[in-house]
Amino acid sequence: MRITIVASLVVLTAICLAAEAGPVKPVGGACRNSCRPHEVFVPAGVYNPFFKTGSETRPVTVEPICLSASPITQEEFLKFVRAHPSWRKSRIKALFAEDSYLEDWRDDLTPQSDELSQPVTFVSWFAAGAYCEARGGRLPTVAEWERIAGGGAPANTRDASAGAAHRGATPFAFAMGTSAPELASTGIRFPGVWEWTANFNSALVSGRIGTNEGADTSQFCGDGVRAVDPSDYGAFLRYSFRSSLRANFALKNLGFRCAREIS
Amino acid sequence: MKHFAWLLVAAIGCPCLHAGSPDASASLATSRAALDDIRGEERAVVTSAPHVPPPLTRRHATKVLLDVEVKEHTKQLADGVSYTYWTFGDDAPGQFIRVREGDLVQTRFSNHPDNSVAHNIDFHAATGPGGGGEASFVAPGHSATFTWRAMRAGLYLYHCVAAPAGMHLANGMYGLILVEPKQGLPKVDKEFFIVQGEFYTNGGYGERGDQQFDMQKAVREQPEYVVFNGRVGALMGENALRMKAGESVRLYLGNAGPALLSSFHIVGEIFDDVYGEGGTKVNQNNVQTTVVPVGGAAMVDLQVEVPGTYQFVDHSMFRAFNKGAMGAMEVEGALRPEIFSGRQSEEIFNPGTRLQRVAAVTNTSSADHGKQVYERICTTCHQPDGRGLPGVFPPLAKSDFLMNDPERAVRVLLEGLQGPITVNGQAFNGVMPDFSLTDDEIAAVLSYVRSNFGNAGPQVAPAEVRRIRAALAKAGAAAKGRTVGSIR
Amino acid sequence: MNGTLKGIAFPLLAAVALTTQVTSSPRERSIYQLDSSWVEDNGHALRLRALEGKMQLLALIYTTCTGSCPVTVKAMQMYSRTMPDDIKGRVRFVLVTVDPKQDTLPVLREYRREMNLEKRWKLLRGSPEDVRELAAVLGFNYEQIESGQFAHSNLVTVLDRHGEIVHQQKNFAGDNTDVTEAIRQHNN
Repeated sequence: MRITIVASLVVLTAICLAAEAGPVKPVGGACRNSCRPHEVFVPAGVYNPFFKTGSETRPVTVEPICLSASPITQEEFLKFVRAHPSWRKSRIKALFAEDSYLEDWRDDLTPQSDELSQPVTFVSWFAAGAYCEARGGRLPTVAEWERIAGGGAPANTRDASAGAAHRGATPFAFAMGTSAPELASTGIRFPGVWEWTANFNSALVSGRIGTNEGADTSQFCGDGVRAVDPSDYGAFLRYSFRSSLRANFALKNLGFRCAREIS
Repeated sequence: MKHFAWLLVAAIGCPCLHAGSPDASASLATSRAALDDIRGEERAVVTSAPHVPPPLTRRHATKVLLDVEVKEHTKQLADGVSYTYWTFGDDAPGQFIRVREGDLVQTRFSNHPDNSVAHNIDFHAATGPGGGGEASFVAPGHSATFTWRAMRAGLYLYHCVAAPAGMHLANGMYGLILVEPKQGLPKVDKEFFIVQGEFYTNGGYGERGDQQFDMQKAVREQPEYVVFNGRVGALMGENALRMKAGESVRLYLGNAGPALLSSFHIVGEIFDDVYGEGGTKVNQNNVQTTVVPVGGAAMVDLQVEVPGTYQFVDHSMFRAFNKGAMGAMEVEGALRPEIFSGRQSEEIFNPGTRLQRVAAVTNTSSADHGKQVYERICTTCHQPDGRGLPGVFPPLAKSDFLMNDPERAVRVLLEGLQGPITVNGQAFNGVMPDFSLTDDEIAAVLSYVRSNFGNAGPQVAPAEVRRIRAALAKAGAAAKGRTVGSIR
Repeated sequence: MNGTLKGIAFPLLAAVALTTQVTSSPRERSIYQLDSSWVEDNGHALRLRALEGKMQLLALIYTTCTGSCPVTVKAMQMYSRTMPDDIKGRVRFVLVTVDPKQDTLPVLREYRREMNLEKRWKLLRGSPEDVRELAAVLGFNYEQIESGQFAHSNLVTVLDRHGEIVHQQKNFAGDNTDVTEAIRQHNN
């Protein structure tokens, strides 16, 4: 009996993985179905890094994941801190979040009443990661996020920013996330906040102009990483912003969403 | 030995290693000795555009405490036009900072928590990596402090260099800092500062509403706005610079670009002294228009003499009139008719001549063309006056052969002519080649010849030449026998 | 103490303890709150907080790094050599690999031999997530750019006995007075 169960699981997993590898979509969407409501299934894909290494771009393969359709809301985060008191405003340690943590909440368990469905912001990388972990996931990586949401600078920024609803939205909200074309109909949303990534501390755009070439070499010694498309200023804004972050920062325009690996 | 080898490998293999050579450390010691002693500290005196802090009176170097805060906020770019500026302090340009050569400037750079992107600051007056760019780079809701020494006197731009830097500049993140030379600058009655900058909006110039940054226009270096001190009309009307006739004036000029050079000119005035590129030496006198490089500066001293309104512009004229690169000085005082009289009198003017107005008549232009063809090709044989060479080349002047048969004239030019002919009673028996002229050229030169050299006859149209050419071609090989051969 | 008093005293004490929780006591910033688990090159398991009690000079490197990492390690060795004796005993050195995939324990042991690292230096290997977390807390940026190669910051961190960051060094040219000064100031 046990063998049969194991065998079925193995077979199911194999079908799942094989289905993702080839162009044929999985029959019955066995993998897709493992995504929860409010999550979007993101099939495997390729991410072209914004920064070249040496003289070439090396595309990165991104595995399939389930991704929150929108950033985590105030209400969702409230449920989390109810269940995990060490992450409450009054309890959190300075290492894990700076003083502005949940600054816009009246107290530990009281977000602004008219903002419950808005993205939670003023949360640190640690808090965001802890939330995702508690739900069996993690933060998306930069590669995953950029592949899903790093649409290039649109021709008309006015139109692109039209959908930004968050109070922190700026004219450059399109840089905070523009859906990749193949995900446009999935219901994935970008309401105009920057988002934490699992490896935000990989970007080496320092305080310098545009590229990383000749960056403060005593601080960032790399292999001459350069931007592939210098006119993709949305990408520059994102990478520049990420490189200004520390793990315990809690900022007004910075929220997050979660990713869950499949199988 | 192994360690040394590693060190060598590292030194070669990585540009990160700042190995100091003995020579470098010697000169380092020298330049260290040359730095001034710092006495005391004081808050930086800064002023909003267009005013400049008063000249410094202290005779020693000090530590200047400077606070710079970045704000992202919506302001008016032009009448009915709003834009989200990124500014140092409240405005673009940022405040004018005045320090002294040798000062230490302790800068606390803050990024307002409501801002959405990271910023930093690069002082062109600083000597050190990024001019402070790396040291000051911070996320919203954070600040960083760094200290730099004003090693060299001069007028310098400061601006944000966070990636993408062109965008930060194009959104208004710039200002000027003056590092006074130790002995100060020559005294003047009035000082002002003007910074030119561009705005790239997705709507056109003057298009009402909230405008946004357009990266594509920026990369093409095609701004919609080129303005002084951050917006259209910042220095016009009631905001014009005010001074009195007879006063000496110094203008501290900056150009934040990010793309276009400025050719700064005051209409009706001349710069007595120009400190080119914002340096500390007067390198030219009596200048009408001075260049302010992008990311650079200039200082100009002038004496205003005659009262009135003096516009100043970027002399690339369409920027001044169509993009906003205009401001004004208002000079008040007593008239100076011995320098400039203004309008003295008015009267009727009628010199009695009539001006030729060239009508759009095809014949006329054809005549010019015809003349050109004649001079190029025909004069060699038929002479400039059309008289030809007796016994050799027939005349065109008052020529019966030419005028009696227009179609034959066309054929001659299409195919050439040889054999005996009689022109004006004279016999000729020569060879005229075919010059491979086009229909237009044949029509033009024939029209020219038929109305010159004493001839008076109707013009020849290119269509007519075309018709005859086609007919001849149809006539075929038999006609060809008469052709001598083509000359081009 | 009788039962009633206990019944009052303990909740009271607990309430007092909770409400007087200082919002920013020194250890709030200790990186040992991360509580990650590592393995040393000699195979011993090590919880991060086991480093508490001594000052630590810590850097993230990888063994196949030919550019800046050797410079970083040399710098740390120089700090070690030039440290006054009264301080030396209270300072330890830790190198953590950002490439646990390539830098297996045997590789780390070989690295120790090549770089001639003293016994009291620790070489740590951990999970990619724990490395990322530690780096994030130190403000160290790194990214794998191709197989075996990383673009990364240059950073040596000085931790006090409690694990709080008291100094970070990015530039290793010149003398090391900043580092020794920081150690001296915080070695209590």
